[in-house]
Amino acid sequence: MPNQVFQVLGLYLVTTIVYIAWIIKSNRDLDKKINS
Amino acid sequence: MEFRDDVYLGITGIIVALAAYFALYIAPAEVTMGELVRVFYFHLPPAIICYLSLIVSVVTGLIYIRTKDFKYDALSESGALLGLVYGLITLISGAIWANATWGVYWNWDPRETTTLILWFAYLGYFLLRMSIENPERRASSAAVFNILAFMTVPLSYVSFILWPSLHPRLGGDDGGLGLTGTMVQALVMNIIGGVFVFGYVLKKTYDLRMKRDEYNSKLMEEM
Repeated sequence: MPNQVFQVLGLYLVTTIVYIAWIIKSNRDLDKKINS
Repeated sequence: MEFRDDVYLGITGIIVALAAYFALYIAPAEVTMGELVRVFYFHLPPAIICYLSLIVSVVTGLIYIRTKDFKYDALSESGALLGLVYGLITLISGAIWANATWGVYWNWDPRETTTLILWFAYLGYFLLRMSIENPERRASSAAVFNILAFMTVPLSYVSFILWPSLHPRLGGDDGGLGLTGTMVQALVMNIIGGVFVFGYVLKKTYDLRMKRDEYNSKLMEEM
């Protein structure tokens, strides 16, 4: 299997996972600030 | 029934994982492109998420102009942000694929060039937003700018029809990708996975934007 296949899959998945982690954390942090 | 973010995210994860496995190990190699065709299964979903996000962005921007309801401005901004993120993934993954098939990362192919223009147009959208302090003026100006920026979306989509291009297209005739049977199934599964991802990230990005507004209002009241 060519490396490029895994590079593109990794780019798509890692960016999506990092974005989702960031958005979940940011939402939680704001919930805490709003309710404090 | 209450919407459960975690259940939705779990289902999305399963779909994306199954789709990736199918694309990597079940679908066969393509006649002309060989194993490299598998890049396509992971290059197309972010491109679709990018286009869907920008369609949501421009439509909700238009609704904002009509209603002046800030929740549509929030949705419009959220869509534009996702358009930028997934547009960048599309550009980079396209460059990786181009290098593997054409021998160069970038050769100013019409699809590459118009997608880059699209990306910079929406970067401009955020620069415009950052330059205006008044929330109503910011939302209205951004919505109008969005209409202009959105013109780059159909341009990017049809670019390889308008100009001579090496960008692969679907369909076995005239040198296109000849996807058949399980290859089409792999592509459809990855597109469905991408649409599920899009639904989740759009909702959470919109939630965040609305909470920021709520928090800023709370701060203003306390001052």
